[in-house]
Amino acid sequence: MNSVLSLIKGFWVGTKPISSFIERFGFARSKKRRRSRVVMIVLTVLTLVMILYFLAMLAFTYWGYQTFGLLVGKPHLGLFLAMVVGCIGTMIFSFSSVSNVLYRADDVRFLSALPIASHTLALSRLAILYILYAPLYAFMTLPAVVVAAWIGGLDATFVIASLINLVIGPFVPLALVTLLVALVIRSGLAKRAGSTSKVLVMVLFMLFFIALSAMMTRSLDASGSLAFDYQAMVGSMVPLFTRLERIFSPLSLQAKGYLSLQPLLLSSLLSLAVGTLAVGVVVKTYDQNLSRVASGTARKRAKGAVTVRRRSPLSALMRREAVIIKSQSAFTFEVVGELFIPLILIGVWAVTGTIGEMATLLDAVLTLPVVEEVIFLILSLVSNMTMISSTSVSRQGPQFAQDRLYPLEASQFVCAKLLFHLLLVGATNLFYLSGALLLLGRGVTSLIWMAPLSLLSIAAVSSFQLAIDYHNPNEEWTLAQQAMKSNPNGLFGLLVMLAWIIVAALALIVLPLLGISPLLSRLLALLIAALCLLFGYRVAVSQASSALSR
Amino acid sequence: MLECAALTKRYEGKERAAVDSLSLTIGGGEIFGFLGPNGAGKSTTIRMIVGLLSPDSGTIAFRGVPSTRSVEYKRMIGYCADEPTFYEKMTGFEHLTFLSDLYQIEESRRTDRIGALSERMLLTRELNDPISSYSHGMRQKLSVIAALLHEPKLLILDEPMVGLDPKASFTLKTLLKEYAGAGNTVFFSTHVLEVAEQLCTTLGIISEGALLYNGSFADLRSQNGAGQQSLESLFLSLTEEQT
Repeated sequence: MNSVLSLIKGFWVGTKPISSFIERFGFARSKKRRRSRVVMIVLTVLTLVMILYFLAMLAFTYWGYQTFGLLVGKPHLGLFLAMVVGCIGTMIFSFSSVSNVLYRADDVRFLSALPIASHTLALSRLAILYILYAPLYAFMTLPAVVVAAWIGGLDATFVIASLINLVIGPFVPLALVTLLVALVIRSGLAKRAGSTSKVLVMVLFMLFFIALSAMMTRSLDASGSLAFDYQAMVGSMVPLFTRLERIFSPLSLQAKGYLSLQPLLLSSLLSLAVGTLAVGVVVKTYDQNLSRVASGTARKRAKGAVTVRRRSPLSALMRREAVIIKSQSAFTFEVVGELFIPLILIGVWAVTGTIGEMATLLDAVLTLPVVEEVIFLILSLVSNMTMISSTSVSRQGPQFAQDRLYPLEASQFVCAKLLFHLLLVGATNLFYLSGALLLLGRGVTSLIWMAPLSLLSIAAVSSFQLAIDYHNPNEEWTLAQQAMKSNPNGLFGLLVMLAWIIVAALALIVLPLLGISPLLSRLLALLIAALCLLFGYRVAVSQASSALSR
Repeated sequence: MLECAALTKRYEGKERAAVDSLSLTIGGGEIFGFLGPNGAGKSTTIRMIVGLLSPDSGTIAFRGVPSTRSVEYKRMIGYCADEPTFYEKMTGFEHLTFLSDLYQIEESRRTDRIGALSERMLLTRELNDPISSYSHGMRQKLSVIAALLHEPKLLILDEPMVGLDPKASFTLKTLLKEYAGAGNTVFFSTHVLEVAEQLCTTLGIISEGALLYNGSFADLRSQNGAGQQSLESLFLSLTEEQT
């Protein structure tokens, strides 16, 4: 037990996950790179606002279903929804990390060579996984607990259940993902299909999660406001929830446990049993799986497919960006998810029958005088909601130092990263824009202004995002998610994107509503985007120059 | 000619400078061995020369091109790090092709260079394997090939013999001699004094950031009145005097 604790402590001291996260906000003392106090405070406040906003949205949703549950004799409904969101969410977010934390991290390779019993190492890695993801589970479920306590009041059972579920709630999702990963490694799938298999499983998880969300959002009232149409919900949602409760009966039991002791006991025993099973399987197979993962890296490439064709440095650097993304499943998943969310959403709406309602909503949008601008802004928001550029340097990790050796100008690195971003995000955005215009019967002539504005705005936003990452890249990550998913630079990049959407909305929607001609407002938006790109590019090159000569 | 003038580098939070007013001049055709105990400032000096670190003060120039004109300067340099890092998912061949693209090496030239160097370093068979499957020695060989690929005028190697098998080590020594024989400059650090003694035309001994000696092995002997004393004992007496 002492060894397990020492290993956990070692991981904590060695990676400092919390302090490194905070340091990235600029709180660390540094003589040379002291950030402006004002910028630091603004970033912190904005981040806190985003977190609070997300918490409020969750609490509001849970509140709606908890209240609805009381009306239809399901007083645990909001809690059940939270358990489902917590369970699926933890599974989705932890999936790309489990394999890394348990088997592939650099420190595992180093530790497995030390005289540590394999079960000790396995237990320590499982505990680290729990420590990393239990807060996420709490974040997703606690708003429902607070809402349920607010609506139904507190009693001893509720308090005990809250404490127990806070501790053992993450067991089931983490155990399921852990078992799945162990199975994938054991079956040899990880070796053969590499990151592709992981991405596929992740996309399936995501589809499932979005399908659930889509089913939930069908109950908003016809005005589209954030009020629940309970009358409509009784007819359509009660059978749906009854079915869902049957499918997720352990989670239903867990939710009922907040109100009664017997289900609490049963669900706790079940969680402990699933957790114990996963621990047992991981411990028992740890040595073999470590060895499988290690031997997986020794596979040989097919010969004869090599080429010496000369490319420009720009093209070589762009290809390298793709190699870096493919090198970690966490990166691949993040990028695939960000690029294809609109398609996934449409698929889910089609599957769940929500697409008809979306069409009705669109009909209302189509009557607006600025319909094309609205479509453009929605798709611009979706496409720019990406961390491809804002974590591009961080993804290179320790390899970033190599860039300082190459005989290239900072502008070449920046251009390669921006063009790579444009190739992925710009191309998908143009595809979505064309598809949306055709589906809505608007014709593609609007692409004359939409396409340049789209590409200019994506390049402008990504140049600022790149500047952010060049300013303070995370070169020392141990787990891949520290470079992308948990990298505050990605968050700051999203703030840049939001700022652009506000500016674009002012130019494209507010000005025409004030009587300015649409042509003039579009030209103005183009001019703003071009100026932003010029300025953003200069900032990115200047930050890159200073990072490359550090 | 490589010229380092009054190079100084101090790391944050450290009172003592890692490299303190170091001045060096190494001519073409020379093999310069850079020796010093652990933490003496060898790697810091090398990292400043190759452009991985900026000096706090002092200047570096090669063939009259200051390191501040970075693109032109870096084009003339080949660097083999003590712990080479690679994009693990690339094959050795892809890595070399990537570097060829960055250095803009002609197609026919790169094919010849990759073929000849990998054959000499005995890495031809493994070039199409992912780098993640390479042993330490294979990585070292790949790093040497990568450093020589664009025919640099100045070759800098940090502990290049570590991890190499005897045959590869011998090949590398021969290669370095041929390379310097063609008028190029070789700068390498090592802890293996026998290698330095066999290979180097000039020596630099650094301790606690200061250059204690810069010159030929014969001069070192005569200056210290050491007769047939080995380089090891000369090195020890010099660095112990300093500490």
